[in-house]
Amino acid sequence: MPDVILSISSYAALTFVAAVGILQICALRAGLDGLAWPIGLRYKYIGYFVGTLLVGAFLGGMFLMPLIEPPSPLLVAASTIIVIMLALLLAILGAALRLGWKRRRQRFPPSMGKAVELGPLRAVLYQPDGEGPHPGICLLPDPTTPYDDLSALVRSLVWGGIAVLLFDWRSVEEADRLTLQGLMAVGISYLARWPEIDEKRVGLVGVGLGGDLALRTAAMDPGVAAVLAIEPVLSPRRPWSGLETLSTLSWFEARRRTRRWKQSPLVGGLDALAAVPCIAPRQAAVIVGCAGESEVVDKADIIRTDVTCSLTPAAHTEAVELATKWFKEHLA
Amino acid sequence: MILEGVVRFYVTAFCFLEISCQALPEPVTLVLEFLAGPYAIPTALALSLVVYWFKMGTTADRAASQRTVLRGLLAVIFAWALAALVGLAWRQGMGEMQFGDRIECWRGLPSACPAAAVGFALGATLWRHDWRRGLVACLLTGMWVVPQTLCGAGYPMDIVVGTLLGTSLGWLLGVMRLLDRLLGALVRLARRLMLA
Repeated sequence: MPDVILSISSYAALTFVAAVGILQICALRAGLDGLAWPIGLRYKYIGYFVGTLLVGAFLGGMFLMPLIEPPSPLLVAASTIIVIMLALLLAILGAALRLGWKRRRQRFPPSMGKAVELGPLRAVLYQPDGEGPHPGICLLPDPTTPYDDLSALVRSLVWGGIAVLLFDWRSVEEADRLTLQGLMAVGISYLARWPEIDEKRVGLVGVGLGGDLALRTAAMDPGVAAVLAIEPVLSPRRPWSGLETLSTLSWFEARRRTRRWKQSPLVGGLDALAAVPCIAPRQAAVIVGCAGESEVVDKADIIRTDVTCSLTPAAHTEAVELATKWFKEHLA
Repeated sequence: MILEGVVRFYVTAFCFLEISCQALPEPVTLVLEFLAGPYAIPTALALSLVVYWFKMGTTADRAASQRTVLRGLLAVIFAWALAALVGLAWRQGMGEMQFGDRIECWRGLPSACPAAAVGFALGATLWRHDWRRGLVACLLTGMWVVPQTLCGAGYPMDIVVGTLLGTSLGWLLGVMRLLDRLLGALVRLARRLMLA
């Protein structure tokens, strides 16, 4: 009996090591940061090396295994399945810890912006260097994921000479669509009245469900000179699922977002498509990537990118660069 | 008498392989034992399925690969059960017969090789979707079952029977459109859990 335990545990340990190595290589090849463990996409080649090393350790260990009495094939098959599942669980947990740690380290320093109270809504105003008047933009995060890190987009816009008023939906988390649109109107007029901002060059940019809000608000508010929606959600069809959501998010984060999206009352009342024609002759554009719905958008510029993903579009460098370039063109 | 003739042919066919293998140097025998063991190749096959599951490409491509992986797993389970049933049938049919000692190379009752059945069932299923991956699985299986014969773990004809069983079963499961809906539902469930 102890021989069987020794045999199966040695075998399981080796298979576990190999499965972790294989999952590491697969995650890096498929660009799944939420599954890459122990090394993330940032150090891809080191990750490949570690994965190969683990698989090599498996092969070396296997060569020594004939010295141990083998267990029955049924036991081997069962343990293989269990061990691969455990390796997957470890990869998910490990990647979640790694991404959580990375997010904490990369958070945008709050001191760079000026905190603003717009009634119940909190916002942060970021101003570019140099003398005004500057163009200004209200940045609307996805209301279902108000804790999203939009620092890359903010930084790029501010460095491009555009003032940014970043709405913090966390202060009005239970609000319905009409309340949010009312608060946005307050934000737009606040930005237009700010001394260093040119009131004729105020724009809106929305991310995800925020894209729907941005397009609808722009249709109603003639004070908005240009509006951009980044990977907007335009229909109640669930815009994401599957492994590709792990390209930038951990499994737990992706699940949390999906749950919040399902529960959001905003999803039931999406109507930006009807609003888009009312924006003309002002400028409107949509940036779409892997899960884009550009086919249904009419009368708006479509800017295509292959790298954004609907869950965290504003984290992608290409989407950020495209958005900055578009605003510099249309609010200059 | 006919049965004895059949069994004699079954047991003695390619019998020279095992005899000639006994003359091989020890390092070669070690490598053959390593390959014939229940660890290395089966684990490699299982890990190749993991790689196939996380294949790159479009969502539709990946879903098709994942359905193939699930189909392959089904084929493996059925092939294993079928090989076990064939072995049981041999034992039932030949349990009373006592002519084994009169046959050269006799090492007990013959049976369909489960390793060949399982490996080639998987290979055939994968082949239908992507012949290169199918070929890799078949080669790995070959590297597993041929050393088993050389090491005396079974008769060469066991492998032939196992291969025929596994390949035909894998091919059959590959063409069964009935399974598409079930496998599609499983992949969709996995997608909802963000694992596919």
